[in-house]
Amino acid sequence: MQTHAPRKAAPAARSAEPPRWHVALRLLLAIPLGYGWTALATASLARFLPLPALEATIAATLASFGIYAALIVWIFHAQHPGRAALLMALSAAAMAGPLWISILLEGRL
Amino acid sequence: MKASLRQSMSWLHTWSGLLFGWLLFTMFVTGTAAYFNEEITRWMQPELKGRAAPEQAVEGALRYLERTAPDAKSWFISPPGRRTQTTNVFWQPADDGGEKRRRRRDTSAQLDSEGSKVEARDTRGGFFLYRFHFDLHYMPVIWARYLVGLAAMFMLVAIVSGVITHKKIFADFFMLRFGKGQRSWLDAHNVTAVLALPFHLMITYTGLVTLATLYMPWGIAATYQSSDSFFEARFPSREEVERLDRPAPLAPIAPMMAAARTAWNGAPVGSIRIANPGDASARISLTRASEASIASRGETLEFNGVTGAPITPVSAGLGGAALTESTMIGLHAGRYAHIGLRWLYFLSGLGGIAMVGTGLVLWTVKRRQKLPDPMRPHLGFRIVEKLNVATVAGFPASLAGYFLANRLLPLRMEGRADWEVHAMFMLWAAFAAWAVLRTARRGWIEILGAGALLFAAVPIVNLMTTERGIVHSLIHGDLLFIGFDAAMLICAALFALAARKAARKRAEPKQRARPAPAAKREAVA
Amino acid sequence: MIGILSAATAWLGFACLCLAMDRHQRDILGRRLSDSASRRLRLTGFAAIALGLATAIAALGWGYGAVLWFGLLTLGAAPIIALLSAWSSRAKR
Repeated sequence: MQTHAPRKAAPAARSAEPPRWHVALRLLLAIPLGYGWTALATASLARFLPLPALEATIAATLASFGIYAALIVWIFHAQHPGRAALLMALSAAAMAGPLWISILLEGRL
Repeated sequence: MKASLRQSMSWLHTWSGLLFGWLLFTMFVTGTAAYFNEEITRWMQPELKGRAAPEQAVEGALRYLERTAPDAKSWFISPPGRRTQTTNVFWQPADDGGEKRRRRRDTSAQLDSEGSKVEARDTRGGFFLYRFHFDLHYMPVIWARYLVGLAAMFMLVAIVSGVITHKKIFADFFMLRFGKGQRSWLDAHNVTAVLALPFHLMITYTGLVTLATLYMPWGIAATYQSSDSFFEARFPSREEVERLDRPAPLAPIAPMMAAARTAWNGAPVGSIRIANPGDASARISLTRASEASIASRGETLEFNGVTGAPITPVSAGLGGAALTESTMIGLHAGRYAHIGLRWLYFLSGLGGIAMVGTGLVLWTVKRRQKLPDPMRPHLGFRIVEKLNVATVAGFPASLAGYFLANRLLPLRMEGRADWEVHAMFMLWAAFAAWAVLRTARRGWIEILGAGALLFAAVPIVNLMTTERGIVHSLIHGDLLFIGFDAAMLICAALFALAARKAARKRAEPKQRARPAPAAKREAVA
Repeated sequence: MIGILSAATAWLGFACLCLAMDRHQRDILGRRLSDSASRRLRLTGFAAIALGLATAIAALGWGYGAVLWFGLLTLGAAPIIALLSAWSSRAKR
């Protein structure tokens, strides 16, 4: 019934099992670091969405779980966890900078 | 590339599902039961019959509060609604600073329509199941909520990765083949997942949203200086009114309730708050019942407590995001649902229980064939297997113990309500111990069998210990009690059926010792 | 009442969708239907399900109607799966 499945799976299996630490790194990226990344993304959305502050905050919070889930799925899908780590670090920096400056300059309600 | 996506998602699905599977299972069981929490409470207090018009009940409650707590800071009244028959009141005593740790019990009461304390057995009723769903038990509430939130997040990831893994999910939509070992478990897992997929996704996501400010407070932290200022913006409340220390009687409440009903297109009043009762500064606020619309946050109308004149509201409606949030929370709790939709919620919840349960069993079924020696599995496998028996069979069976304890514990027992809950957990612990001591196969058969007996015993014990046995309820058309007894018998039948299935499987391991090639392929998929 | 109607259309719709699939045609009818017949069945199925949604929304409003419809989809599909399961296991025997 699913004869095509192993054929597709074969090349991945032949090119040597990925090393153990890949899974460990993915878990580290997905659970604690992914949460931190999502927190940053939520904070950025809450500040920068073009909506009134209250609405933007709620909208960002509502979206956060979807963002986190998508991020986790992407981390486990990424070909190499190192690449995922790099992309996450870069995007986190890109979010943290403006967020920090914005809070510093405009303060909070 | 495609295959590796499915492989990585399959890995993610398997482990995210397994790690929190047992906790999720108990959450699904109690959450599903809690869709009927009010009905369960009514069954657990068989002494209470009949119901009153809300106006009459509120007037009774006011008389009670005037007698009991005339100088309280504020009174809260929940009148009987569509699904409840008693009035619940609690009050905030004036000398709040004096004794900090006052027991809730001393400042609350359950009243009948005349405003007298009801004479009914002490029980937490369906409310316990509702609270267990997100507060668990025997642990600090805050830990429980983080744990439950983590489980829900794993569930969300398991759903998304599950859908990606099983790309033929819709082609296999109608496939449920019995008696084919692993293939049947996989079918059952798929069918229960896909059949109620919108429900599963909705319930998981909205569940996270109900406690979003706890799980994801960073949007608030980035915009507001404190969570208090956020909540003040989110739920604007009028300044607390200063007490004038000039006694004045309360205006009659029935006209206010009528005015509120009219303003809300006939929706009933869900709760009433009276600030500074008996003082010239008294304020009365009426909040719309949550059963009246999907969005959970009911509108509130305020009245001057002495003149009865309406006070113009402070907030002008909700924005789009706030309304979305309110609707999501309402969708999760389902308080708005009428009886038909409530049953659909319940059935979808059963689908969720079955999905998690079959998923947990599937983990062992898939791996048993690949074990070097299926008769002597390694420790990890044995732990999963025993936890499955203890949770999937033992936890729902222990719910029957909760209901039985409600009928069998002495009525005047000290701490009776708590002991009902202890009884349930003691039974669960006993099942867990049994699961550890017996082989998995015997454990399944015996605990499922015990569950069947326990559930079947509930209507019988009810018949023997109350005046509202099945004969009485059939004669008087007491639908609640008929429904409850029937539900217990259906549970008993399902447990018996499952026990029989488990017993029949006994002869099978020899056949399964040699893994079929098809099964191996599916294990990858 | 509207609920029953909407559940019936969901049931009918899923029955059509099921019959539009090769695998189930073999199980139930013992032969394959032509491609155009399958396509018509599929269209009818989706139309029936959409009709159920329209009815529920017209009668009960957007929110309540849509939620009820989702629930009824589950309720409508369940007996089809049960029937099919019984059918195919009998056919195999």
